[in-house]
Amino acid sequence: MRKILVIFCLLTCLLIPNSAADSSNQENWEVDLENGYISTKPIFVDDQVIVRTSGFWTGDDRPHVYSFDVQSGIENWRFSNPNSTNHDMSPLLHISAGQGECGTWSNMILVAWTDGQVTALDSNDGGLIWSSKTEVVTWGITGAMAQDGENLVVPTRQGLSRFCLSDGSENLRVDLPQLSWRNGVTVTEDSYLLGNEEGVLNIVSKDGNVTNITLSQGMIRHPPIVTTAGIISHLQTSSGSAIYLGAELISEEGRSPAIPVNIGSRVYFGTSESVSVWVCEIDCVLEGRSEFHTNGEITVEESGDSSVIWYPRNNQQGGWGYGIPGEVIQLFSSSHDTYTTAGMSFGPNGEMAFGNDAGVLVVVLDDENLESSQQDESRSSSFQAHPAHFLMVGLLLGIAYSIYNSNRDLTNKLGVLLILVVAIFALPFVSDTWSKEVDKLTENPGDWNDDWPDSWIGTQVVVFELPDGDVAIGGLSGYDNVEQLTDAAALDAGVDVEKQSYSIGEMIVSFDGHELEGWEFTVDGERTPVGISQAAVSEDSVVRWSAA
Amino acid sequence: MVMTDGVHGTALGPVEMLVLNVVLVSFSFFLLCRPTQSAKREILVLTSITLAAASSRILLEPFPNVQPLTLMCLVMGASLGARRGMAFAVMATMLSNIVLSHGLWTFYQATGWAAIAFVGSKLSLVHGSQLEMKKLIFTAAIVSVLFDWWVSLSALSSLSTISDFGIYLLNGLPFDAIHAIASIASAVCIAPYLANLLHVETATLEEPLSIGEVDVITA
Repeated sequence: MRKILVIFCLLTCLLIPNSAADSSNQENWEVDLENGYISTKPIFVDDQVIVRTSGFWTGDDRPHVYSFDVQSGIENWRFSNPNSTNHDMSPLLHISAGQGECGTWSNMILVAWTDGQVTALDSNDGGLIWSSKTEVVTWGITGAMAQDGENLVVPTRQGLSRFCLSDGSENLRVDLPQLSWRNGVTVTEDSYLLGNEEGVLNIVSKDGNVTNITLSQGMIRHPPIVTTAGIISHLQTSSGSAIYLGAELISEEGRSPAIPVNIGSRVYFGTSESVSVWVCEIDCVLEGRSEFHTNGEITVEESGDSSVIWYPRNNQQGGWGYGIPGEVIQLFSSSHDTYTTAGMSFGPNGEMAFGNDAGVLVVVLDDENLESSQQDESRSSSFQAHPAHFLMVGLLLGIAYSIYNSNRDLTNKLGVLLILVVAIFALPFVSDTWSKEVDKLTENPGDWNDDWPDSWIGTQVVVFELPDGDVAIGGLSGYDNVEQLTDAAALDAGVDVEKQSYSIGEMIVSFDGHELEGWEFTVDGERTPVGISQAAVSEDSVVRWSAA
Repeated sequence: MVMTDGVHGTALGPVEMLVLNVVLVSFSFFLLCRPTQSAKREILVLTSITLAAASSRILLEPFPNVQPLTLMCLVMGASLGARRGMAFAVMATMLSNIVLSHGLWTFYQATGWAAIAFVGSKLSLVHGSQLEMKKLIFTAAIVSVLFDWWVSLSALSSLSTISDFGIYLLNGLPFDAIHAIASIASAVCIAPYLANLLHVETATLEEPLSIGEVDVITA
C-alpha cells in the first residue's frame, strides 16, 4: 500500500509541471487565415509576424492584414480594407520610427491596396495612422513600395506617388501613360525606377522629371535592380522572358519570371523553367543555372557570412526550393503545399514564416522538426532505395529460410511483420487516395436555381450577375474548364467578354463592358484556388460570375 | 488556431490539464490499492512492463498508429485481471504522453486502453502461459478499430456536425487498418512472450507464503 502511495505521489509530481507548462512553448504553429491567398511574404517586426491575404474571399469577407505573436501564434491585431478589390499583392513594408523635415513618425506597417489606398498602421495595435488614395484603373496598387528617407514612394497603377511618412500628405505625383502591375519601385540616389506593362523602364527624378528606356514588347513586374554594370530588368514576354542590362538584351529566359533579387554584384533570377545567378560588375555574366519552377518572390536567408537563396515553387506540388543556381536546388515542403508565389521569410532569431495559396500561415521557431525533404527535382521520378525496401527483402529472405527449415512459427511471425511493413509503406498513398474518395462523399452546397428549366439538369450552366440583371445560360456540355465554359455561354448569351493575360493566367476584365470592381466566379457555389484556365468543371457544374 | 504538433483535438489549459492528470492518477491509485497485499515482485513486474509499454509507444511514434500497447493491455488484463490491467493502461498512456504530447485526447486514450484491458480480463484469452491465439488475434483487431473510433471522439468538439464526424472516421479507416494489422503482428510476435513472462513471474505469488508458526506446524 505504501509503495503504491509513493508511486502515486511520484506520478503526480511528474505530471504537475507538465500541466502548468506555458502553452506558448511550441516549436511551430500555424493558422488558417481563411480569407485569401498569401501572395507576399510575411514580415517579422519585433515580436510579431505580420502577413496579408489576397484573393478568394467569400461573402462580405475581405483581404486582411494580420499580426501574430511570433512565439505563441496568438493574434495581436488585424486590419481589413472593405473596399479592396482583387489581388492585393503589394508586399507589406515596415518603417521604423524616425523624423524628417515633414514631421516625425512612429513604427509603422505600410499597406498598399488594390482600391488605390495606402494605409499606415501602428505596428503595435494595427490602428490606422493615416491613409492616402491613389488612382484605380480596374486595380490600384500591386507593386512593392519603398522608403526614401522621410518619404514613402508608391508605384501606382498609372504613375508614381510620394507621401510624407509622418502624415501621408502627397509631395510628389507623376502620371505615366502606361498601366502597370506588380511593378515595384526602386529608389536610387537621385531617382525612382519603375517599369510597366509595355516594357518601358521609367526613370523619375526626385523632382518629378521623367525619362524612359523602351526595352521590348513585354512587361516589367518587379522593382528594377541597380548594379555597377547598369539597371537590370527581367521582362515577361509573349514567348517567355528576357533579361535586359540597361537597354541591352543579355539573355532570353523561360516563362513567367520571378521577382529577382541581388546580393552585392550577384543577381538571382527565376522562371517556370530555371533559376539562374548572374554576376554584374562591369558586365553581366551567367554564373550558374539549375532547373526549377519559380514565379514569385525570391528571398534571401542570411546565414552567417553566407546567404541561402529561396525560391517559391509555383506549381501544384508547391513548396520552396533553396540553394545556389548551378548546384542542386533542395526542396523544402510543408503539409500545406500548393501553388506558391510568396517568399520565405526569416526572423532575427532563426524563425521562419511562410504561406501560399492555401492561405495558411506557418511559423517555425525550431527547424529541427521540419518536414523537409531534400530532393533534387530531376531525381524525383526515378526509383530511390528506402530502408523499408531492405527490410522487406530481409523479411522475405527470412520467410524463405523459415519455410526451408519447416519452422512454421517463425514463418508466421515474419509473415505478419512483412504485411505490417508493406502496410506502413503503402499508407501515405492509400490514405491519400482514400481521402480523395471520401471527399467526394462530402455534400457540395451546389448552386442550382429551381426556376431554371428541368432540361438544364445535368448540364453545364453559367450565370452572369450583370448590373442590369442576371443572365443564365444552361444546357451546355463538353467543356473542361471555367474559361471554355464562360466563353461558350457568353457567346450564346451575347455577352461581350474582355480578358487580359497575367502571369497568374487569364483574367476577366469586363462582361458587356462592365468592369466594376473586378469579377470573381464560383463553381457549384464554391470558390476555387486556381484561375479560370485551370478551374475544372464537370458535366453538371454551375459557374456563377459576380462582381467582386 | 491549429497547432502543427497537436492534431487530436481540443488543447487543454494548465488547470484543465492538472485536473485531468489528477483524475487519471487517482484512478490508477484506486485500481492498484486493491487487493491490499501486493508482493514486491508484482510491483516490479507491473512497473517494468508499464515502462516498456510506454517506451514502445514513444519509440514507434514515427510509424503511424502502430500501437503494441493495445495488445499488451489485452494480455495484461487477461493475465493480471481487470484492476491491474486497467491501471497498467492508464499509467502507460500517461507516461508516454508526457513525451508524445498531453491533452484531452489522453483521457480518451487512457480510458480506451483501460476498456481494452477490461475486455481482456473477461475473455479468457490466457490459460496459464498458453494463449488462445485465434481468439486473441480476432479480439486485438476488433478492439484496435474500436479504440481508434473512441479516441476520435476527442476531435468531436472541433467538428461542426455528426456527418462531419462520420467523414472524419471514414478518412481514418486506413489508419485503423494499420492499427489492427500492428495489433495482429504484436499478438503473433509479442503476446506469447508477454503471457509467459507474466505467468512465470506471478505464478509463484499465488502460492501461500510460508511464514511464522504455520511453517512450524506444517514442517
